[in-house]
Amino acid sequence: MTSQTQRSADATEIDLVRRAKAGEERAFAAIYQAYADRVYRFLRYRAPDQASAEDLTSEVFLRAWDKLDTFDPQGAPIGAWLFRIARNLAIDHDRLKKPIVSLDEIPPQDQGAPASLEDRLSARLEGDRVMNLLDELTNDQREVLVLKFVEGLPTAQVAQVLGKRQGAIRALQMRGLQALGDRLQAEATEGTQ
Amino acid sequence: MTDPDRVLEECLKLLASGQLTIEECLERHPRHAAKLSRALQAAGWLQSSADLFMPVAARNQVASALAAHMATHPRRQARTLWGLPAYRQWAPALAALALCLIAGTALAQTARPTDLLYGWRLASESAWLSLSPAPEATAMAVAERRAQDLLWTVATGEQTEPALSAYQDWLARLQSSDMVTDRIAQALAAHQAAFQASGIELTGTELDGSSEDTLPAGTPLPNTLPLPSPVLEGLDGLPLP
Repeated sequence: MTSQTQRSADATEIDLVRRAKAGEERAFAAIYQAYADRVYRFLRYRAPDQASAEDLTSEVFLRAWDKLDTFDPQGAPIGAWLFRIARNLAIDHDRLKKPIVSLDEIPPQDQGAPASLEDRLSARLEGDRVMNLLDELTNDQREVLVLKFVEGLPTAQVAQVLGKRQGAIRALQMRGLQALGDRLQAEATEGTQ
Repeated sequence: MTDPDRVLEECLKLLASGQLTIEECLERHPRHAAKLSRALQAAGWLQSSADLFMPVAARNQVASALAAHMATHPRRQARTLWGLPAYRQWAPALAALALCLIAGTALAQTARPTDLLYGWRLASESAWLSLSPAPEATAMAVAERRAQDLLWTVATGEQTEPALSAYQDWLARLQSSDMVTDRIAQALAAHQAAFQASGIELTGTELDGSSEDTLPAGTPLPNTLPLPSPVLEGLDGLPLP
């Protein structure tokens, strides 16, 4: 993405946020469309299973809508704010082990097309190996690697999302990548034997 | 650059922008080559392997739940400019205004009848009486200040009209709000004595209070000062100088 395209995307996003803050539901729906996969992916690598990741993703956007007044567009992009909400919810979920309102309990209005078998299988195959390897890292390391290399956030924004200093993020990044490299090497060695 | 964490960060940036390959990065930093090699390969693998999407059904279901939630929890329409809540927009201006009022009022307390802030002082004295928990003491204190102003104008040869008018207004206000107690009447009598000592004579005729007697600004001090007649009624029984 060129810097000009990036600037244009940023301006569009700022406009969407402004309109959503003013109460325009369509603008917030556009933000959901733009970030649903990214928030889900972050949670999928963080939550114990797919159902929890889906429920938490829903919770993130409901909460974001309710708390939009507290979001300051000057401080950080909306994406970093959404990841922060996602992380806090995931931590609460881990801590309390409290079942949140499941999507199954929300009366369906327009469910759209049901997930195809191919969809499910593809998602599982793509994600399972990464998930297994990331599972062996600490929560902090996993969050840094997912935000940085899967979601493409710069170090400064990762630091904002996780509430840590950039130096700490760089250290977690190094240790996480080292550990991941070790696992990959071990996997390759097992494969050749 | 010796910190391996920073070296890794720099290499990742250069790799992402296509300015460097992994091999070039390792050549640049031979001391950290072993650590960097594993880390950079892991980063590359993660970037290419971790693409994962929300299942379509779940995505639609969340969208529907969100639409229902937004419909039942509408946001208030914006009452703001520039995306800031109203109180945040106006708070600095209101704080500055309050500060100016406080500073101006404090400064005005030392204003003399010839100063620009004298009007501000008179207004603040008026507000002081309205808000005071001890109106009698406040009324006496303000009357005393205004009497001193008048005496000061006489002593310095300044225009007497503003001070005279302020004193008269105060007396009129006390009378109209029925505040002339014995103590206040005594204080006013003392003022008249002071005025007389400064060469101002209060005679019965003027004290009757036909108020064609306002002094034009800048005129020489007359030898009598007019007072509103109701005030004089409050002075009944007190010796007039």
